[in-house]
Amino acid sequence: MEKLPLDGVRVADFSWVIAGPYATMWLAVMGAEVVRIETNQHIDVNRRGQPFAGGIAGENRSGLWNSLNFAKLSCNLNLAKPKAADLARQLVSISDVVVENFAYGQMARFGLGYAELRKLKPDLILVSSSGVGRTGPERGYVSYNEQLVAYSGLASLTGNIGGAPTNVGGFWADHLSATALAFAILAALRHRTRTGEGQDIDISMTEAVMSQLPQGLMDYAMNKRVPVPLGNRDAVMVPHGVYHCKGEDKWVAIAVSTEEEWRSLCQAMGDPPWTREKKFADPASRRQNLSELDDNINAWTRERSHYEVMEILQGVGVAAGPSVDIEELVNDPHLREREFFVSPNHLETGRLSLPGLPCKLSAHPTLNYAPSPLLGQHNEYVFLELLGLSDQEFAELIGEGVIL
Amino acid sequence: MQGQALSDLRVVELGRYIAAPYCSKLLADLGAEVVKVEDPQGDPARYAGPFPGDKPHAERSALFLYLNTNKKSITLDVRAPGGARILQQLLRDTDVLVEDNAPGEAASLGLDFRSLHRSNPRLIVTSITPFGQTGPYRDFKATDLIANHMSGLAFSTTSRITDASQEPLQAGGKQGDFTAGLTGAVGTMLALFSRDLSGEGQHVDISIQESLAAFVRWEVGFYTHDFDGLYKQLWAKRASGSGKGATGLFPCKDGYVSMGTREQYQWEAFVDMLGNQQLREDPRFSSILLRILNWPMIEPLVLDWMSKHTKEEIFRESQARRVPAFPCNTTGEVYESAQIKAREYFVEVEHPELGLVTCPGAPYKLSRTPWRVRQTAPRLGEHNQEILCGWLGYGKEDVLRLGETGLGKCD
Repeated sequence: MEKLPLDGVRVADFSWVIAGPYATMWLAVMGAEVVRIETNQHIDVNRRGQPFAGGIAGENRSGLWNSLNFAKLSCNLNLAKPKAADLARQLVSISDVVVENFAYGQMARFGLGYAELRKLKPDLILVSSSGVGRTGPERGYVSYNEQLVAYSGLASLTGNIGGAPTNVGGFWADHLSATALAFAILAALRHRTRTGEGQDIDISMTEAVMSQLPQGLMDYAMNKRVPVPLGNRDAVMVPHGVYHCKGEDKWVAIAVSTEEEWRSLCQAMGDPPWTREKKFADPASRRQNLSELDDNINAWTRERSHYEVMEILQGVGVAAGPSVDIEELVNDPHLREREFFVSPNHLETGRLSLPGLPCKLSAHPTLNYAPSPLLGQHNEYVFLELLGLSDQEFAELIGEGVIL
Repeated sequence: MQGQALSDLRVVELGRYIAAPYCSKLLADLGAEVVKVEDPQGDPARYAGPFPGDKPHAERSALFLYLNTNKKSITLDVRAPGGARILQQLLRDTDVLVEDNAPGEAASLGLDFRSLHRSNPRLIVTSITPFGQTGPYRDFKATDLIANHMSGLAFSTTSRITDASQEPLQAGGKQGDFTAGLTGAVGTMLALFSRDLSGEGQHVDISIQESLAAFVRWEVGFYTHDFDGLYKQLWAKRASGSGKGATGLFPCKDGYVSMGTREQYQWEAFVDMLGNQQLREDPRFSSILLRILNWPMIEPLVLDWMSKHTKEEIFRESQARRVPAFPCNTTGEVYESAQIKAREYFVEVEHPELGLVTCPGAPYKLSRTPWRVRQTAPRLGEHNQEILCGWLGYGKEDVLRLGETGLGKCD
């Protein structure tokens, strides 16, 4: 089999929840050996949270956890015990990358502070992901995704016109910062390959979100203007929004960016008389008469399904697509044909469909979409094979609650 | 430049607006030499604001500045035979091409991966398009709005829960375009590792729709793992639970705060802050799911308390009790935040037309190979002569002649 891009890279993964694990899943699916260090004493919140396969709770049954840990290994280490920290240090000393996203100071309390780990292996890439970064007056503050979508300013740009700020779905700050983290790790790995130097990576989830808000931030910096939510509108394009379709809570999104597209839209709607009225003749007029414009378009879309409107409008070169719910997303024919969803054969839940990674590599048609591990599934591999413990030592450490 | 992680890379960008330019910006900021190939009219981002004083000007877009620091710009009509030839010459000695043409269009420009691979087997081609290179929608048009809605993200982005009469919403600030750009940068890095192993370049296929859909994992999990249970109960009606169960955004005295009380100890610290000891013991609120389901019973009480406190008070008091809470900031408020300032997140960039501009920094901090602004964003065609003469060996007269035929304008 063709080697995957990160073949030969080993990651000691102390991270949990999403912001760390989604980043390390990129590495695992792309060929790295990622060992998650977990403990029964404080199980990852996502192993404990809904949704569970078949609605039956269990630490190996969470849909979210099982979608964030493809192809990783899991071992148990109760880091509160000094012997566990020793084993963790051994694992670190044979790894290339260490990732953690505990609350500030927790790694040091385990005896796994950066300075100490750096001594074990000078060319390590030491990664820390946190809500607001590892420096600054608020570095010790606690947060989840939603707090950071709010803190970063993104929520203030999202929402209905004149309405409340709104959280973005999809655990936005978690997944986005994890993607940035994957990029930073790969850059650091490449630098190490070229120079032999390791380094520290400090990711602030807040800053990762802010780096995608240049318009809002720079409008304030330059013009002291504070932008507000636009709903589904755009500052330039019109019409631009979602329209009612046949069925309950069904919508189609339409965005018209040129006059040619506007004429195509009118034609597709059968050139009704209103499209020739002066008040819709150009973008400025259309914006002035927006609600009447929307009513007219709605009258046409309402008679059709959201997929039907997409087909009609795409057929004439107008950007349009259904606002899909989760069921429609999973069954979307395009995503299906691209095999975006994967269903690794999980030991406890079997083959359940989950999103893969949004990246197709022509030289690697088959990526490592092995199932997410059961809690502690790879204890023997990690402790006996990788760290070279004897069977007796292994049994004793289990008895002492170190491997737990 | 020495000391930067990607300083040995040469990148050509055929990108417009946000997605592909953001991808190559991420590479440029870590040292890659990026040549941005623009139509003679220029990247449309040059005409997108914000502008200082709201006065549109092709060389004064702050968005363009942010997306194109550390790049060189040449103008080339790649649809004209002469322009296509120059582009092919440029790609012969290039590591990465980042491009955003519709798949059919890329082929008609001779930019399909197969042809490019033949003339430069080491070339990595990163294509960022709305729906990717394959599948029934691959030639469909989309903007950020369409990608937000077709990825399921908009369906999950709804004000204050369960109200299905409300529109599903796009995220603010063109997040689909940016996220696909970031994803493209990850894919490009992976292809570089792959090239180290095999010696060969490859085609990296990034779909904006998928870049967003990949974040909708939790929501998809409900459908594929618990369809008859919680999916039907919660998700079929867009009831994400946000704003319920003391998690999510809450109005307070002077704005909004975002609360997160997932764990029992956080919930208990939260009700202590409310001064309500009975809630601590109440079995109706003893788990996050129960708090979401039974939320209407205590919502008035919580909202009443919130209305009497400012976001700053709630923020600091919650954090003192280890309850996850942060204020909901405007872009102005986060810009002024002491935390962000202490970390020197924003950077100042000098630009000949814009003067000194404050830009957002990188989405990471690398201790040894930090990102750096080596050069400001280029004027349209600023590097025509440097690239055509210095890199490709054209004479000055050739360049003038090319300029006259509209292939490339030269200063």
